Amino acid sequence: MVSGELALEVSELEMRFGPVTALRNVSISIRQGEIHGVVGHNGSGKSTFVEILAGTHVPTNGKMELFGKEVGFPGAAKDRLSYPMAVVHQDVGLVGSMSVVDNFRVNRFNRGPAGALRWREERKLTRERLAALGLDIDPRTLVEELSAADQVLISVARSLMDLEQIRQKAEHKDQAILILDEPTSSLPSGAIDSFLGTIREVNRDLGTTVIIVSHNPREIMALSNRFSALKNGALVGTYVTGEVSYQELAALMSGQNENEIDHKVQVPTSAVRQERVENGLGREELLKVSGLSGGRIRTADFSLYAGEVVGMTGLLGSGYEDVPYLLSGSQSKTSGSAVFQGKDLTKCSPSTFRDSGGMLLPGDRQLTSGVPAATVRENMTMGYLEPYVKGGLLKHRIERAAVANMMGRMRIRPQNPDRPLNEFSGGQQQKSLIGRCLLRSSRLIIIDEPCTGIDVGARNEIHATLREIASTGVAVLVTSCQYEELPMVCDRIIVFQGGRVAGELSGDEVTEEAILRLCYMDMEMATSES
Amino acid sequence: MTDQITGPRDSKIDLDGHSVPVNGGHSTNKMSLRSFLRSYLVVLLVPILFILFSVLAPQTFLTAYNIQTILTTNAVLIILAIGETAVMVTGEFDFSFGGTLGLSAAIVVMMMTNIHGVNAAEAIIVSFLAALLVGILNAYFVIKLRVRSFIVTLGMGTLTTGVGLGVTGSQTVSNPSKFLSTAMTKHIIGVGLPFFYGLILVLVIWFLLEYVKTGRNMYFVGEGRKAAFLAGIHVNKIRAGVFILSALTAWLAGMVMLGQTTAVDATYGGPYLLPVFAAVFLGFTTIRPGRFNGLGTLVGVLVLAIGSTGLEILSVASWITQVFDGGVLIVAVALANILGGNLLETWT
Repeated sequence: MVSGELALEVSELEMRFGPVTALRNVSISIRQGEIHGVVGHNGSGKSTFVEILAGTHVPTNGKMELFGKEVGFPGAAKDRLSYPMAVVHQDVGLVGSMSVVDNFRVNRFNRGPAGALRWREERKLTRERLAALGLDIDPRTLVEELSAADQVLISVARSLMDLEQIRQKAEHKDQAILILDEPTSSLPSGAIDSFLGTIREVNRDLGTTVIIVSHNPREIMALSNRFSALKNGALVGTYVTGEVSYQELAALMSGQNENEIDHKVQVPTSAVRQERVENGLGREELLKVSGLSGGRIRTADFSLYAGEVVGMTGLLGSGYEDVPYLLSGSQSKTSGSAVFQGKDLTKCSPSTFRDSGGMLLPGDRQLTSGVPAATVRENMTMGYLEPYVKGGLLKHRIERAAVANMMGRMRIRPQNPDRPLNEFSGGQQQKSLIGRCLLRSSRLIIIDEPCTGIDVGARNEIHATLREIASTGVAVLVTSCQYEELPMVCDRIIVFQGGRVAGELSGDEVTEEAILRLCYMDMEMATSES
Repeated sequence: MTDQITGPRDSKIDLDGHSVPVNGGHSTNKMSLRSFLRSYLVVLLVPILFILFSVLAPQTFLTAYNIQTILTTNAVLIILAIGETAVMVTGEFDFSFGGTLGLSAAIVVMMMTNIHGVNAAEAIIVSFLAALLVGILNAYFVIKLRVRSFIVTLGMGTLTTGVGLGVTGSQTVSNPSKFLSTAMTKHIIGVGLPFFYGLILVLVIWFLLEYVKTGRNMYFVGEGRKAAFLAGIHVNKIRAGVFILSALTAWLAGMVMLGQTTAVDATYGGPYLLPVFAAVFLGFTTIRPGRFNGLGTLVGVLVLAIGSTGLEILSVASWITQVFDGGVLIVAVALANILGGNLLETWT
């Protein structure tokens, strides 16, 4: 129950990092028992806000009250663990190569005589705790073998147990705050609903106050009682969720004023698609894949045509995730063939794939597509330096000018090509990497998860860019676990199930419902019927 | 929009301050003092130390002969450190250069003294091939058999030292090659020729890393290997290349040492282990802070050379060199952490 009393109140929060002010004069009150959303564009300061609550940073200025008592900030406190707050970080903080019970109980083990660990008890406890959140997992399983959704739940369960420990000592049992930092960003769409249900139960049944940071307007709409919006490090306001429309919320999240929301993204309608066909786009077959298998793909046949954006999705593990890496040769194909403009890509490696004119932008900008410590300039031209090499020498001036130009076109701020990638917000980083695809003229561009963990504004810009690339006669392949974004950008969507193509949607058929239907369709029945 | 409870209305503050200085020397923006110091603090140490010792010991330190000697005697260190720089750019280690140096020198001496009719050129070529083999073996174990370079080269360093001792029968042997003595003891403006070999190597590596595609790709292999591979960069060719390069610079250092000194033994490369890493890490903090770079390494060597020579001349006992080198390594890495900020992630 939401009561009138405040669980957490921060006032006049200010956080400076050298010359950059990440938060200024931010005051937010969280009521006891509510689910409070924190929203804003990339770089709005919401991550900094969470980091202050988690104790990673101590603000330069400000005050904090917990359940009516003034307290110091966790980062400056001697005993951070005594705060009745638990944070589930975006990267969930689990060690993949260790078991569920290890991760769940690390630092929390009950000890027997001589400090010995009681493994059987620990496993039983872990199993019970996870079962309470609807997870039936052998505690001895390695975390890396679990799905992203299960990993997030384990992390939540662990935080809940910590809160319970703290509460047992506290006078009031319902004085606890669970802080979730973009918990659903790595979850496939199908797993989000049940996750939100779990959070709702935790809030309702245990009386736990929940603070949730999110990029997803639906999540905030569905879950929160109130939310606070940040923009450029300042508070825009705190709103009652029920009194705000979806569009207003989306505008607050993207950091744009309502009237300046980017309507340029043209969701491809059937008329648009028809026009494409009439203009000859979508007729020229650029890539033909037949009998492809490897990774989680058992067998797949498909073609990509010039001028179209094709989406691939499915449930996690259905195989679509491996397509970009199988095609580009970083994962080996066990059989089948792939022919791109007459060139055989069946036995390619990432370098021969590139040399034959293909381009891959992998899905993790910290690890596989971007090099965080390198500059934007270096990241944008990575692997494709040829245009800037004259007589064997790298011409920095030409390269810098090309990148600066692209940063302007992609509206990446600050427009400094020599700034390290990791000093930009997530959305700007992703736009920079997409810029790599624009700098090089390639007729086959494969992009994995182009819009993970970025705000609505950046997402719209990226969608517009992908459509723009395709309109020049390029075949663009987008793979994503977030199937609801695909209809916004794709002409055609191929849905995978169990390592096979479950179906293909184009024109009017492209809807979220149709995608879901294909994801869950009983393929055996479908084939026996026909 | 209703029920605005707290907070000011839409403040117009631009978070993206356009003049935030970044990454020192890269920046086209006006440089602040802080970013200047970030890039050149260690460079400034060279004249500071030089002036300090010149004032403290004007009679002995500030002489042309002493300066010439410092440069000449540190040629080996420069050559070894520049090879190591290339390796570390790619995120690998090579601890085997000391052993390779000793083995190369030992092979030349042994062949010329024990095998009748072998001339200097033949002996030098054989030692070159031996060093090449060491580099290829390092690369093979690291890349094909996926053993960490830290382990492989640590083992290889001891192994080659052992083989070198075997070759010379564990004796300190004198250099039989007139050719090497001449090539390594000629002087230009009083500075031994080997210093200029080192200088050329420094410039070549600097140029490679700054102005050649392969150099840029080397940084990617070190800073984001997975991303580099997926972008089609030949990650393993580059890794193999730096191990071979490092073995060959160790060979060159061996030839220099053989020519400069009258006698060697296979363990002579060992003491260079620490100063090489101290110089390379000092280099990491300067010129291109947060990146191993050729000129930075040269600056690192100069700081070490001036510091230890100066302290010796002030007749603090000779053990001070080790204290100085060890201290510099620790301080350099700490400094890299402070100045380099998040750029050091790959190393900590």
